[in-house]
Amino acid sequence: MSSTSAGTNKSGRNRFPKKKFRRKRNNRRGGPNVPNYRKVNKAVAILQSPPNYPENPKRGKRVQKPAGLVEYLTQLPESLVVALYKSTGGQPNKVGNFDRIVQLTSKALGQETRLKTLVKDLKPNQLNSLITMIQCGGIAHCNEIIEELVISYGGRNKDWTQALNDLGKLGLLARSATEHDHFFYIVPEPLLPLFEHALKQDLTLPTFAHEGISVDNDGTLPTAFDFSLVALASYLHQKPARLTQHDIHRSDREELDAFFGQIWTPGSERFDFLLDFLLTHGMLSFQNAQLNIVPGVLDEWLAMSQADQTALVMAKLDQEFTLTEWLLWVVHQADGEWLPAHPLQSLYRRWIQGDKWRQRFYEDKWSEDNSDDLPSFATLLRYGFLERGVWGQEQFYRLTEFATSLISRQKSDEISKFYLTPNFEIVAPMGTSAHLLFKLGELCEFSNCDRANTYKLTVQSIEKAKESGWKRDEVLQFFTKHSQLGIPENVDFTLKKWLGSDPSATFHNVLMLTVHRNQVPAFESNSAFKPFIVHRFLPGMYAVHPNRKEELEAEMVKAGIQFGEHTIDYPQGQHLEQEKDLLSTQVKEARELKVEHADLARPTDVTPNELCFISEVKTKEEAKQIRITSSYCKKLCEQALESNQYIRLEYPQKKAAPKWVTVTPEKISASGNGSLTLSGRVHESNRKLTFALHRVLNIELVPSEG
Amino acid sequence: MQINLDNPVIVQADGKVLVEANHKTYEQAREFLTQFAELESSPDALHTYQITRISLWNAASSNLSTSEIVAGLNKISKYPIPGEVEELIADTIERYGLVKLLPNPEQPSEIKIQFETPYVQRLFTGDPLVQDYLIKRGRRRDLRFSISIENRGIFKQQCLLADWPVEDLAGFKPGTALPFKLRERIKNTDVVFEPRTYQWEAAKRWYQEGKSTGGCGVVVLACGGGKTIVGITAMSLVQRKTLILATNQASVNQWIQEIISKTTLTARDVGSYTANSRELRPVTVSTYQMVSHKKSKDDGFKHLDIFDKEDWGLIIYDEVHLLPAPVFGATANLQAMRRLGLTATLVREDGRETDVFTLVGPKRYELPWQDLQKMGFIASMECVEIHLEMSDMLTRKYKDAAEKDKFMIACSNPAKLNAVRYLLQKHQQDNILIIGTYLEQLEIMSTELKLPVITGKTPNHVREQLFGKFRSGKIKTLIVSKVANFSIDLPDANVAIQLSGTFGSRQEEAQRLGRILRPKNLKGKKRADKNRAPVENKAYFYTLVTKDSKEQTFALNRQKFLAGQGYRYILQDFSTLSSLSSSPSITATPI
Repeated sequence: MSSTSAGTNKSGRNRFPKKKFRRKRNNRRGGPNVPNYRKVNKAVAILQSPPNYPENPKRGKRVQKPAGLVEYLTQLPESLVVALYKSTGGQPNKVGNFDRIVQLTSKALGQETRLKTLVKDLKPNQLNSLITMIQCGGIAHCNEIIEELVISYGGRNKDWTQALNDLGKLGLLARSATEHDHFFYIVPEPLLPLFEHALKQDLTLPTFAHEGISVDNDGTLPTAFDFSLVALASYLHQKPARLTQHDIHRSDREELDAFFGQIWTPGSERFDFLLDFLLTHGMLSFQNAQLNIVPGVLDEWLAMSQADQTALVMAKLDQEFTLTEWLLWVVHQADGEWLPAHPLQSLYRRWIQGDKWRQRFYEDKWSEDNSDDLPSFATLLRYGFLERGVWGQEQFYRLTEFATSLISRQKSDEISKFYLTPNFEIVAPMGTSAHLLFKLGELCEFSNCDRANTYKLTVQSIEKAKESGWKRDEVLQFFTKHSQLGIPENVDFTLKKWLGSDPSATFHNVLMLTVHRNQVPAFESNSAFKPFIVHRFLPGMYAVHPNRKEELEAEMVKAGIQFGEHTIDYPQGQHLEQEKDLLSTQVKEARELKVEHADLARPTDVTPNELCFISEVKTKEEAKQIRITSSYCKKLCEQALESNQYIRLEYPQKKAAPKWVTVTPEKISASGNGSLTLSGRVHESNRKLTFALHRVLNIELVPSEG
Repeated sequence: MQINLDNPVIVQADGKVLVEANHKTYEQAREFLTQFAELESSPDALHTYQITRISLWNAASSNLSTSEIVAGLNKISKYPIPGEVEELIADTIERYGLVKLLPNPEQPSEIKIQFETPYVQRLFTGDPLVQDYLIKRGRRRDLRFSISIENRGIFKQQCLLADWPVEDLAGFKPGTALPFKLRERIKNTDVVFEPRTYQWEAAKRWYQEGKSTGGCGVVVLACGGGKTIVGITAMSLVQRKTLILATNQASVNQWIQEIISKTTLTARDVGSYTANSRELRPVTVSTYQMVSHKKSKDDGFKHLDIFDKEDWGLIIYDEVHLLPAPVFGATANLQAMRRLGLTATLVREDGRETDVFTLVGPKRYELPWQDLQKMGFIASMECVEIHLEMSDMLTRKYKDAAEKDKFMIACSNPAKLNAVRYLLQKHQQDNILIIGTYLEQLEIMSTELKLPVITGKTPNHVREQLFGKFRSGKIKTLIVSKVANFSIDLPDANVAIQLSGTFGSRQEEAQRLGRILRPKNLKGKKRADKNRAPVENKAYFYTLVTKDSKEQTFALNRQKFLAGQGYRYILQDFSTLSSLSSSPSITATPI
């Protein structure tokens, strides 16, 4: 087995997942973001192209530190920061105060060489523990992480406990508060990206290449997801499958399997997945005991961006196999090479564990949970997203074309032309745009599904296309535009004959708005309505954009045009709109899920003052107490200055016990040695005094009397 | 999965091979594919080949191995080749030659069977399809098998049925020697004669320097490619008495004329064995009809003994795809003679390609028409389908007619007469063949247009006279029935007007097209009549079709076939055409 060579780095996901409890918060933040692969890319494959580090780092070159590092460190327990400073080669004894230590630690963490030295000096057990912590997303239950480490690397429990404690003593790891002897190990959030880079080589998954690997597949043609989906949809569109009470009619299923013999084996679950996907998203419906394609919804799907399509597929898969996209992305990083099963499964197990630990941490379920419901890769193998290779006793995984097409292909890579031959045959090679394939399925008889799909243009197929709304000019334009060499002369002549002239009556499926004749001049002269009008049939009768009804209503309210409360539904249109709405909702949800997954890249959100130094044991209540630091004092003072409030603070006396005083703050400044000071008038003595903020023991805001 | 979209070929699981014809490596891909696949269609952008068992056995007989084919295919394919196709290739190719026929010097009346392995021997000898023909000698480990020499053909047929394609290395009997040479100049003219390179190549590949692996097989050349010359060249290589079987009397005459004019053989050496004259000469040309003639149903084939009457050293089957069943039967007994099949297409409407393979031999050479056209050896072709309306009266008649008569009614649409008039006027300077199936229609045309007609009833001497006049330019337009479908060499005909066809027969369409494919203005060719204007190397094939009728349905099949072959195919409405031209005045030559 060869380790990953240069240029073929593979990585593990390294932040810990947050599941359902995150969803609400996302919504509160203002709805889903635009799906963004880079986000996932960064999160999963951070080692592939580290954003913060140059390719050839020079000695002492500064690293772009995570934003707010100083502030974060300031809030950490002093002992933890001191330990971290020591680990990076600092000498805390020689530094005057805590603020300075924070500044120097932050500076040290920004130097790559110091970080690398820190990691290099770790003992093997410490290193493996840190790697595991990172792969778990930076949080781990105190006992269960030991189990995970023993499973992965062997050894004794106490050795691993020692290793984790050692990491804590180095300031690389903190612990949460303790409850009934249970606590969580937590890697301080801003340190995670720094460790990820420093441990780049260690986090990288190995790849494997050998001619002798036997591929455990069914010998079918590896097709792209959309090719398979649209091929199935085209077939069902031409030949709706009949249904029995429980399943597809046997002979229809056999015909289907025979037709698609090249892309799946009879009884394949890939077919079931595709069928389920079409059904779930409203692209397929049950009507008259048949499975019928709903072309409008399918069109909607085809018009979506690649990212939305992928999000929908991944959301569907996520129902059975959590974090599918992340796993596929990691395997994809291998650039088609094999990833050994063991490290990949370990990585996935740690993600799942990390996800659970994070949830339990937030849900206050700190006791041990030994339930083991790790999903198996078998689901992805059966659906054809992964393929397995075997060499000796070892198993390996890599992505199939089915999955790769979803993860990495861009629509721009698709073939946009097909061959229309003079003998009325159409050949569309694999890789042809799914949109074109479906249109071909609407216009022609789908005669063979293979490396190149073949279609036949017949009088019957054109008749059918006309019935489903294709117009003469659209058909001719379609073939002219997409045929490699245009339409052959003889086909053009015959096709025009079959198409005849356009019909004198046409049905339209629209959201129609009718306006009372008295209001027509006002309506038509108002430019605010123009963006909503798709077509003007007559004065007072318009087709309006179906998805912008609410906006139009708002404009009408502004213009003082009253409208009926209810839209009059006609049965034919209702169904399609519902399906489209359903699809639209599903896209929205899938986008949210994507954002949610991307969110997993953000660590715990544990406020730093909740973290404890490894040797400190605090209760939850103690841990939640705010630690008074100079930056905390400064923040409060600034707030008081802005809002004209008073400050009440506890300050040590030279010869007496600390004393509480109320101060009207006037100015915050830095003294000669760099420490912060607050100047203000003390109410009790009515004197102007200066307080060193790092000496303040307690502080709070007091509303001014005015 | 190795995908290389820059390659020109897609191999489908059903054995179809799609080739991008405009690809820069198309020529190499074509060269490679023709060795083991049949060209099915060749429209402009995408050519289709079909891999079949027969095409693979043909390849195996040329010593092409599975690994060579699979590796070659992988090299030019966009996508990995399907497992099914790999299996088909391996299974088919590897079976060829597992059973061989070899001469048996110890028992000259028998042919020895050699098996590749004892396992093959056990499997083969256990097959009931071949068991009846096997002669077993020896015991246990020294078992030897042979067949009677008379059963050589039928045995090979049975073997193929049982999926054991036999490699026949039993050799041929030499036949009586016939020394002659090819002429350097065509007899009585100054025109230089030399077979074209591809004609030599075809003959040499067939002959294989006289080895037992050669001397039998088929050469596929497009109509107009000069198959007769290939036949004559093959004769010159063999130098033995030769029997030639052609499709009809006109064809027989052409063969004789060609042999005498292009070889040192004289009229005394070459004779025809037909209904008109039964001359058995060192080179004898006969017809399929003649050898398969029976006086009555119960009688035997009276002239089938022609094969035994002379010590032939070579038999040439012209248009081998038309070989009738009785000749197949006779050919089965002629396996000891050298055999050459000539055809433009190996596709038989009766599906007996396997018999051609076993009894005549494997395909030895093929050159598609596109290549011939590029070389200028055949004319470039434009196919035009003209659609005509039915009159109201004919429409009523058509609707009321029985289904079986509808096609004939549509084909005989009287409106076709006007269309022919229009085309005759358009092609006043050209040499035109008007081809039809229905005699009544042809007679009407002949009467109305005052043009000579040749049908099955026309006596041979009259046919020859008319063909002669057409060749010499005395007649510029000739009406012909199906009799002129095959093997009529009318080199200067450059326009064909098809009035009606036999439903959707692709073969008929190809043959009719072949009548006008001969090149029209070859450099260096001396014209018979210097006063005639030079003709451009282009031919027109018009098909007249009645709109909205059964004829149109069948025409669509023919259209697909011709367009699929790569010919330019245009459809036009006669109403549009006629309105564009002035009233035609006929200038046809009277009979």
